[in-house]
Amino acid sequence: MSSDLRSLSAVDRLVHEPSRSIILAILDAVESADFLYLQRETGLTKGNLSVHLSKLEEAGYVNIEKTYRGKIPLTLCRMTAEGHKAFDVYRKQLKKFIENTKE
Amino acid sequence: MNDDLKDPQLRALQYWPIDGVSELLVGVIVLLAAIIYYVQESTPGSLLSKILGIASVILVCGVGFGGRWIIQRIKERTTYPRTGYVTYKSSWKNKGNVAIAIGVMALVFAFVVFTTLTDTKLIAWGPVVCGLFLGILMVQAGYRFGQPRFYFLAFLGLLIGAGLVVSGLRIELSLPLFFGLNGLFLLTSGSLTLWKYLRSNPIPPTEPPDEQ
Repeated sequence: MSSDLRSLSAVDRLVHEPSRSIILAILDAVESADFLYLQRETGLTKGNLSVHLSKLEEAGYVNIEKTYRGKIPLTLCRMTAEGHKAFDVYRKQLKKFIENTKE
Repeated sequence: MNDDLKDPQLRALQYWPIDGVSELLVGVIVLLAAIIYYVQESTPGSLLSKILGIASVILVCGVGFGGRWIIQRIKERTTYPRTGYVTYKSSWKNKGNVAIAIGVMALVFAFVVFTTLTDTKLIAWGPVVCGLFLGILMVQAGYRFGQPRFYFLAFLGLLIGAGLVVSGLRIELSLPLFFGLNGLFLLTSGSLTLWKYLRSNPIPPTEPPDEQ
């Protein structure tokens, strides 16, 4: 196996899952986003999104704050420093693999 | 990076001007600036003129420090219950934005100092110079947020500036007119965008959130 393929096999599987990588990509670009925004962007059901966010929170990649805006509940998601680092490493691994692959 | 990941990132950044609220606020401020400038020029040395001079400083500082806060508060009532809540990293961390802001401010400052110190007739070109500066900011916003309406506003600003210079109006009248018209166009653009956004995004029905 080439080193590029080996680097791809070493990617963080938690980040590599498509829905979670989209969640992390969004949270990497902004300071915070709420559950409703992430749900609209990912197209996931509430239950599925909740499961993915829980996994990312358990890994320490995302910080979830449950609060209220007036009477409306608000679930705010923020990427942690660890999350930014993991996503950056993942992005570089993926980029390297794509650059070294013939179309 | 894979386009599948770039697109949601880009959409997240483009989400800020999606509802036109920021244009509405900028439109109100530009219109207020036009009114203040006009009244000051019409009544030089009067108490009202002095009060408005102080008011303009407060306006500039208020927008600089609290503009984003005001927009966020408005969005909390209009946008976020409909399509979600997003907060952004400070744009002052982006070196490109800082460079553009400093560059435009330096050019404006240089123009004002030059026209004040050298009794030049270049001041008559004020509206077109302002149109150029406004255009640069609008083009930058259009490029950053991927919103073509900002390019149109940039073109309109330049057109108004050029039109006012060609018309030969006195600067005391042409400059407030320039800001007044641009303020009105920004208000119109913001209102239309907000109206379109509210129509296409009704508030989702409230249900017990199962993610809580």
